Amino acid sequence: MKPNYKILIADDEKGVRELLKDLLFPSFEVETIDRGDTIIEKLRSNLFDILILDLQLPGMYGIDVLRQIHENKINIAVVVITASNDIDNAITSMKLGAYDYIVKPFDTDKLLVILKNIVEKLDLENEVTILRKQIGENFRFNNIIGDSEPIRKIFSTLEKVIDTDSTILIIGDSGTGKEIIAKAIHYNSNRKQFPFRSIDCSTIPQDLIGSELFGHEKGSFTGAISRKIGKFEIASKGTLFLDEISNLSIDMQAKLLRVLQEKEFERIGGNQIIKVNTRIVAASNKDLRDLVKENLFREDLYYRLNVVPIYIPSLKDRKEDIPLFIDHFLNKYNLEYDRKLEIDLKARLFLTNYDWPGNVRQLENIIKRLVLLSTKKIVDISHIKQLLEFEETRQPGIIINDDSSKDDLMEVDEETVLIKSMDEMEKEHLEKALHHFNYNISITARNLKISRKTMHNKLKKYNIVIKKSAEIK
Amino acid sequence: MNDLTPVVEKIIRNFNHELKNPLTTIKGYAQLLGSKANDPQFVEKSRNIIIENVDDIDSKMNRMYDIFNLPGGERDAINPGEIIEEFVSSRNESEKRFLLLENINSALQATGDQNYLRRIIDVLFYGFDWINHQDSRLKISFGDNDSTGATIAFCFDNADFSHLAETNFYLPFSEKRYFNTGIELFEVFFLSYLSGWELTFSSTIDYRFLLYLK
Repeated sequence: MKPNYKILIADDEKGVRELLKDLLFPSFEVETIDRGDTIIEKLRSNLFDILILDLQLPGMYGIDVLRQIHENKINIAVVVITASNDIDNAITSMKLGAYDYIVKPFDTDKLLVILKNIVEKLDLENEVTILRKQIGENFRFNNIIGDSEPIRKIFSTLEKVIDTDSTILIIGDSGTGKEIIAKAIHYNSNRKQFPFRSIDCSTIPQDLIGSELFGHEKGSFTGAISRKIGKFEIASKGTLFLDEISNLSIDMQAKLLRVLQEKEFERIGGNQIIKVNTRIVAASNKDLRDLVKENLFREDLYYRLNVVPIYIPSLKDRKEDIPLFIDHFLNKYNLEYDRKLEIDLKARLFLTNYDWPGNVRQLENIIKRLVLLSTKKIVDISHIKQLLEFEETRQPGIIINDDSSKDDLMEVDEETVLIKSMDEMEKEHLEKALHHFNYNISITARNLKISRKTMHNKLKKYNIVIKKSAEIK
Repeated sequence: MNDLTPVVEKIIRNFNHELKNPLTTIKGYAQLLGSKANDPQFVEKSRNIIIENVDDIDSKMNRMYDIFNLPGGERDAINPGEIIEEFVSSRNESEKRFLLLENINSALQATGDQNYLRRIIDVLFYGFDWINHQDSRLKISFGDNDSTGATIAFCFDNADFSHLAETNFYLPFSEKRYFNTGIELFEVFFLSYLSGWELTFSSTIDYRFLLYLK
């Protein structure tokens, strides 16, 4: 067990206190107390993770201590130990949030199992906290790329409304980073310790979207084999990001409007009214006002959503941010793929002046592919053009022949240049490595820094057969 | 029998609770000894703790047994005021500061066993947990007297006995918050009974223990 968890033992019996100290130290940091009326004060002044609480304590009974812990929302796992077999006490203790309840004289092993479970729970909670913090840091405003005037305006607006419950509507072309802004809103707000959930209304079939948003009860429709909790409920106290909201059907728009107005709904097939406090951040790549005019979007919902509008400009309209994006993505993928690729000045200028119809997402993809595929240390303009031209031809798998780059970007030897898939490249690399190491699987695996087992799996995957004569079939 | 059932149930519950604490310690150390048998210091400590707790159970059982075996008290003419004053005057100065006398009538006569009265005062005074309740005082006063008897009131200042029931305040281990073992009120109650007196508890005014000397 981790030695850094702190336990407070509250029991008026010296023998029991001594026993628990001997049992739990040094696996835990242990302190003891023999009265009930000073426990709360002690919990407030020291950070304890676990409280082992006797119910019969002088000064204040254990049940009252539990009640105060519950009322004051003190975050601590409580194990009740008592000499009483009274079932009412056990029920009351559990209702007041005790983690477990054991009757004296208990097996020390049983107590240790309970504590082990608590430690596992605390470890998980700590991990979640750390991960949430990490996620939060990824989406801090100062980690969002952009120093252009429109982006500064967005930050300025968000700072004013970040800790309010206002609904936010993000409008921007595809690939402009709407979801990143939505996450930044959540992870910079006072809701950050609660869940962030997103749903892309354009990719989920309309007949399933209600279930995704509001959940359903078992048997409410064919295929509803168990109860499902909807994203509104999961993200209660947190934030729900509704991407491409223009794709919602009129029926679903009406249901969404009701939740926004009443802050309550019923699961599909259910009668229970579920109250939620979910902040809505919606996004669209279409101007919802046009859809309102065409009666494709409810006007009342539009006004409900459009409390704080955020317009994210296309990348071509904030070219001063492009160099920042280039450096950011280059660093990111160099780090991820252990490369040290650089982009020369002409190539950078070309990237900055390009129109980027796919916006930031397209720029990111291009740089990712450069880092992955380039065999040179410095990328020049020809490499960039090659990739962009390929995109523009919209013929997956084939790129335009380009004499200036054919010998270094993908190491191709034919006039028609083929983009190789990662699998193809891996297979080719394996074959070369095997040849280099005289088809010795162990030595090849060691030099490729993979296990023999992985090596065999890959040989099987790519159907590479090494014959006894040491040739690849 | 019906009237006795809740009392017996409470006695058993109290005993159950009282014995389970030392049993927890004994069982726990017995289990720990299995994993720390190579540590002579721990073995010695465990041995001492186990013996200490067995002795604790033994002494509680013996004390209860002794109380039940007390003989019936004498029915002599006694002077309660004198007995109380004698008790106070024979305490040392540090003990005296915990005692207050009020309205003591030295001339009052009653019937009963003077040794039992002395023992009642002793148990109440020395059984109280003064170490943890140093702001308390034992106030002894005489109540209304008439031809049928006299009443002595024992009142502990600053002690909250609100958890005690007037009907069965005397049950063993009902009161451990202010007394050293929890058997004190039961012993006092039993001594009173053996002397033909009546000990009651009033929860309305100052949580007084009233000893009615008939």
